[in-house]
Amino acid sequence: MKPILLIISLFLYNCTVGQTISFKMVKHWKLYDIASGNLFQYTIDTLKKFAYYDLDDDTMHEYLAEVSELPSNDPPRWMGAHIATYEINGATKKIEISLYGGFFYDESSKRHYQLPDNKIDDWLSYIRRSFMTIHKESSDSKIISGK
Amino acid sequence: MKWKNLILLASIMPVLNSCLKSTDNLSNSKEKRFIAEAREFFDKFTTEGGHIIVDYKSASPRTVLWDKAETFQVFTGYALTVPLEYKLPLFAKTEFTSNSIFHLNDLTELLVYCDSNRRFHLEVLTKLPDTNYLKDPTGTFSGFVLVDDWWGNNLGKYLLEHGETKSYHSSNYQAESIIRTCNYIYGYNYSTGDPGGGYSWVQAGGCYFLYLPDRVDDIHGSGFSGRLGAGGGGGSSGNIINVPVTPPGNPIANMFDYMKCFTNVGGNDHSYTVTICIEQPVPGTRETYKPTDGGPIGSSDAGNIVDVGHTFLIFSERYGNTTITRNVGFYPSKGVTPRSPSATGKLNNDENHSYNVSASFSVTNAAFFSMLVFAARGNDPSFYYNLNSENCTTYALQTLAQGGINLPNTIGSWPGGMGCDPGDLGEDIRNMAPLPNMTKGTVQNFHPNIGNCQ
Repeated sequence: MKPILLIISLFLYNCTVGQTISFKMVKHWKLYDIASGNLFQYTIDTLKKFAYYDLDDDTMHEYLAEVSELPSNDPPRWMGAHIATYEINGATKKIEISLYGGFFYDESSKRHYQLPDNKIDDWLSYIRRSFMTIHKESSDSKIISGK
Repeated sequence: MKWKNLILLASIMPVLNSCLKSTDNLSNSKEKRFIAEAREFFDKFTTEGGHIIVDYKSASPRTVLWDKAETFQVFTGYALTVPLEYKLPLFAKTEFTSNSIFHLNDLTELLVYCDSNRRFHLEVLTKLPDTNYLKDPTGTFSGFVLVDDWWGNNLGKYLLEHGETKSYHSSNYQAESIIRTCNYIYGYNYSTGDPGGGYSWVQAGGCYFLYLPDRVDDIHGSGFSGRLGAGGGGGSSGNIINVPVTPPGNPIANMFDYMKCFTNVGGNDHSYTVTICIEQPVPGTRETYKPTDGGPIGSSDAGNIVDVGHTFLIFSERYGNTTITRNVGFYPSKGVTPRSPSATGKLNNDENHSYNVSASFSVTNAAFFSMLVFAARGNDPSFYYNLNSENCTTYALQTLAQGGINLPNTIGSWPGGMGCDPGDLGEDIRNMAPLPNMTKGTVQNFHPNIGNCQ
């Protein structure tokens, strides 16, 4: 009986946690002004304390329309990332966006996704520009307020 | 073809009276024979000893594309032009075309002609189009044409505009700088078969100036050019000049364009700084990687996330109230792992990357540009990123070494590999005695790219 329970448990786990996300359906993308520390440790509640930049939903849908899932047993090494969130069915989910290679990690599904080769350069540029916009605003406001 | 005839006339005018005037049309057999004779002359002439190469572009390996030779007829007999192909990617920039960047292969060709005594002459023509020509490259060429011998000795400079040829003479008048030619950015030769043996070169000063003194309309002006233009050997007038267009982006598509705002000036007015920035996987330690805190490496709970940190460079120039800053980091073009550690390299704008250790070096303009030259190789399609042997840290250390800055390169290891790494480099810098002109930092500063130019 125990093996059956184990199989059912794994099935349910896969249904709830390991589900591949269709990023065409999600919205309210936000990119956070966090550049240091262990980015994978920030909780969604913690992110609310940070300044963020509203990423354009249509633009994100275009970039993420054809992402592919990367093998989970040997995902790429990380060399820097930005944090973003999106909303689906009223819930906020967090992802980390790699600063190279056009891949990202979705924490809710615990999976790596890869953008198509022909979109990587533009994607990286879009993320960088968006981050620099909010980062510059944050830096300026800190200077102005003397913080 | 018209402009070639104008220049040819201007070039050979001193011997015009003694030249035999050929009125025969060049038949195929005559063309072939002339090309063969010209080639034979070229081979013999250019292998003669006793010549000194006077400029770097003449010293660069180049191939004469004889199969693309175009023959035509002139007053003194026959002539031909042949494209030259430089093995190194050499670029030129002119100040009178809004700093457009040209590939030297598009500008340069070999001119061979014989005079009335059947003596061959060989010249290298470099045509620098002006903005009028760039607006309509199918029209008559207008701009400067530089005439050099094979070894780079200048034989003449000509300005072609409005269908006229004007010559610039050397004189005792005070020179005015008109043309600046730069090729310091892509000045390197990388061998795929010998990645470690690539040869980097830089011309002293990075840019060189051609001093064109006061203009003197010479006897080869409108009258002669008009006659030659009408009667000169036909051919296509559509010498299309390819001007690279480089879109902005996070990946640095064109290093020359990305770095073009830097000026190479000696002395004390301009100060140059290179900063190496390190984001250690675990700040303050030599750890070469950091697994995610969700679980052990390899577990599904952890998502198998491994952060290996990053190392990148910031180049900066200051003069007066002007600051130019550019961030450059070397990455693989796609995700890499210890099992699949290699991918084509790619330079990225790292202004949005964090760091926790840095070291800044005040350097000379020569060292600064030597480092830029080396840094550019990161975008070469044949230059590969490798997690072990040519990673971001290796690349940054190698680049600094080009400027005479030699930092410790402790080799670290990780499951499935070993090599230079941000963890060790960060601790090496933290613990080392400062080098001359070195400033260490352990606090991140905002480091956006600063400064634009046309």
